[in-house]
Amino acid sequence: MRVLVVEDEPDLRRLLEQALREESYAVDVAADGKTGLYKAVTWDYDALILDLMLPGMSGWDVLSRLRATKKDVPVMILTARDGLADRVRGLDTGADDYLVKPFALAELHARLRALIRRSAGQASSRLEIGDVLIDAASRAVTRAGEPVHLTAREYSLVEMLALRRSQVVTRTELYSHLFDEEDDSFSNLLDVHVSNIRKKLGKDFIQTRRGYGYVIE
Amino acid sequence: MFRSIRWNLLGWYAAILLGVVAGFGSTLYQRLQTLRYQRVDAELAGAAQLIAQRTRPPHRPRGHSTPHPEPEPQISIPESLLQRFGADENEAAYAVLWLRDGTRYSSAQAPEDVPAPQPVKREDPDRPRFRVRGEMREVILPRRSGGYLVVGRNTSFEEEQTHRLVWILVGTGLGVLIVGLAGGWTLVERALRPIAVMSSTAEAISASNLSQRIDVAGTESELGPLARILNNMLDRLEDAFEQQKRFTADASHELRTPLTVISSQVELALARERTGAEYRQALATCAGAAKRMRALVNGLLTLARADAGMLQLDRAPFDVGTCVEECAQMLHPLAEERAVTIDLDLADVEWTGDVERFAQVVTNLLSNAIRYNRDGGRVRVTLSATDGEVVLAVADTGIGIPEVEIGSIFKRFYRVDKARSREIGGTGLGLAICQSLVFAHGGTIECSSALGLGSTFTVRLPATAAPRTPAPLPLAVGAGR
Repeated sequence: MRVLVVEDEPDLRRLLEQALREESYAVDVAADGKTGLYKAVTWDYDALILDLMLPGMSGWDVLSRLRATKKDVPVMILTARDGLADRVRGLDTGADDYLVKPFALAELHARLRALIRRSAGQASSRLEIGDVLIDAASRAVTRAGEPVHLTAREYSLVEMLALRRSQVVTRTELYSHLFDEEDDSFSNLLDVHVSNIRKKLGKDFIQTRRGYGYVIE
Repeated sequence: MFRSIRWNLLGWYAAILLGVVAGFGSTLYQRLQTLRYQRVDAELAGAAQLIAQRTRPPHRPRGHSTPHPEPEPQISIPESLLQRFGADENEAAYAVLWLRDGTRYSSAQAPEDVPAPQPVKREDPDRPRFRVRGEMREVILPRRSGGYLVVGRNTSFEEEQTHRLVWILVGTGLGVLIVGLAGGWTLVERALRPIAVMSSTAEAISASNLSQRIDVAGTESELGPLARILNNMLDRLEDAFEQQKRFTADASHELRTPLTVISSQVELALARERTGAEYRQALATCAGAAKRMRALVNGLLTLARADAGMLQLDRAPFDVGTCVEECAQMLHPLAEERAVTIDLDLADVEWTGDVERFAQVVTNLLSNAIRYNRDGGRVRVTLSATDGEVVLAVADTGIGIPEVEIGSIFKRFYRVDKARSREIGGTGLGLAICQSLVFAHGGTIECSSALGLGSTFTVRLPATAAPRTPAPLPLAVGAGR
C-alpha cells in the first residue's frame, strides 16, 4: 500500500513517514501544497494524508484541485484546525476522513486501514480466502489455523491482491502501489516475492495471468 | 406589555385627549346652561314687572274704619307674554299674588301648590329673587305694599334641550376620543416601527452571528444616528471577535503542532524495541518541540500581560550602547553561521527603562535581521539620541518585505513567507512582542522596506517614559500607529 504524506512541519513529516513505513506502507512525502498536488496527480496512491495549513498552496486547494482531476484516492485531512466549520468544509471538499492534531498514531493507522479497505469495497478487516485468513488490523496471516510469517513486502502484496479479489492486478499497478520513490531496485523483484508467498500459502494461492499480472481467486 | 413605550405614550395621549374633551364639553355645557337660565330669568323678571304694574289693588280711602273688604285684584297676563310663553299647559306661565295679609290670588294656569315665598330681611321691589321648584323656575317680586308677586313657568323644554345637549356632547366627545386614539395609535406605531426593526435586528445578532447590520436607509429620522452608532459598534465588535477567533485558532495551531510531534514521537518510539541512537534522536525531537512550546507559551504570556496592562517594568537607568553591544555579541554565532556582518554605530546614550525588556526587543530585531538576511549580508545597528528621544534603527540587507504586508508584520502569528518561516523556526510572535514592549515604554516601532534591498526597523523611545495604553486585544495594529 502506498501513501502520500503532505505535511510542512519537518519533524512531524519525518515521524509520519517512519511510523507508516514501520506499518509496511510505501511512503512518499511532500513539504508543501504544490509538490503534494503534483505527486498526488502523478502517482497512484492508496491514500493521502494531507495537512491544511501548507505554504504555497493550502490543503483546501490541493484537495479541490485533486478532486477536479477525477482522482478518487481516499484523502485523510490531518490538521490542528479543529473547528466544526473546518471539519465540515474539509469533508465537503472531498476528504474522506478528518483527524485533528494531536492524534494517536494507533488511531491514524486504524483510520488509514479503514480508508484503504473501504475504497477497495471491503467492510471487514478480516479477509478469508480458502483456508487462508488475513487480519488487516494485526497484519497477521493464518493458514488452516496455523500462523504464517510473511515479510512486510509479502504481506502488502497479499493484502493488495486480496482486497481486489478475483481482479487481475497488473504488474505496473503492483509496482506503483507497493514501492515508493526511495525503494531501490533490488527490493523490486516482484516475482521473488510472489514465489515466496506461494511457498508459504500454497502453490495456487496467487495465480499468474501471463502478460497481465496476478490474481487471487 | 403595558409597560412598553407604546402603551405609555398611548396612555398619556388618551389621558390628555380625555381631559381636553371633558373640559371643553363641561365648559360648553355650563356656559350654555347659564345663558339659557339667564334668558328664562330675564323673561320671568320682565313679565313680573309688567304684571305687577297691571295688578293694582283698588283704592282704599284712608280713615275708613269700617272694614271694607279689599276688592279682588285682577291678575292678568298680557297676551304677548302668553304667546311668548306658549299656550301649552306645561310651558304656560303663571302668576300668584300674595297680599300682606297672606291672601292669595292666582292666574288661570297657576298650580295650587305654589308655596308662599319666605320673607327675607331686606326686600327690594327692584331686585327680584329667583327660585327653582322642581321643573318650575319662579321669580319672586316683593311688592311695595307688602306681599309678593310670584311669576313662574315650567322649564321642562329647556331641561329637555339641556339633556339633549349633554348627550350630543358626550357622543361627540366619545367620537373625538376614539378617532383621536386611533390616530394616536397609528402615530405611535409609525414612530416606534424603526425601533422595533432595530431591536429585532439587534436580537438576531449574537456572538456567532455578528455580520447582520441595522438598515440605516429605513431610519432617516432621529433614529438614524442611533442606528449608525449601533452599526459602528457592531463593526468594531465583529472585528474584535474575528481577530480574537483568528488569534485563538493560530495559537492553538501553533501549540498543537509541537504537541503532535511529541506525542507521535513518543508513541512511535515505544511501539517497539529501538537502538540507543534511535532513542536519542526521539528524545532530541521531543526536546526541540518542547523548546518551541516553551518559547510560544512565554511569548503568549508576555503578550497577555501587556494586553492586560500588567507588564511589570523594572525601570532603571542603563547604558543603551552597552546593552546593544551585548545583544550583538550574543547573536554572533548565528551571524557567523549565515556569514552576516553586524555593524554597530552607537552613540553614548543613557536611558531609564527595563533593561531586560529592552534587550529582548534588540535581540528579537537583530535575530530577525540575521535570519531573514542573505548569506554574506550586513546588519547595521544605529543608536542615537535626539531631543527627548532615543532612536534605535536595525537595518538589514535581506529579502525585504512587500509593501502590502508591512502593515501586518506586527500582527500575532503573521508570517510573510510561511515556508521560509517554517525552515527558520520562530514562534511568529517576535515582532508583536517587540511592539508590545516598546508600547509599554511609551515608544513607537515602525518598519520601512525595499523589496530585495532590505528592511529597517526603527524604535523610538521617549526619554521620559510614559506607557502607552495597550491596544485592544488582540493586537492587530500596523506599524507606525
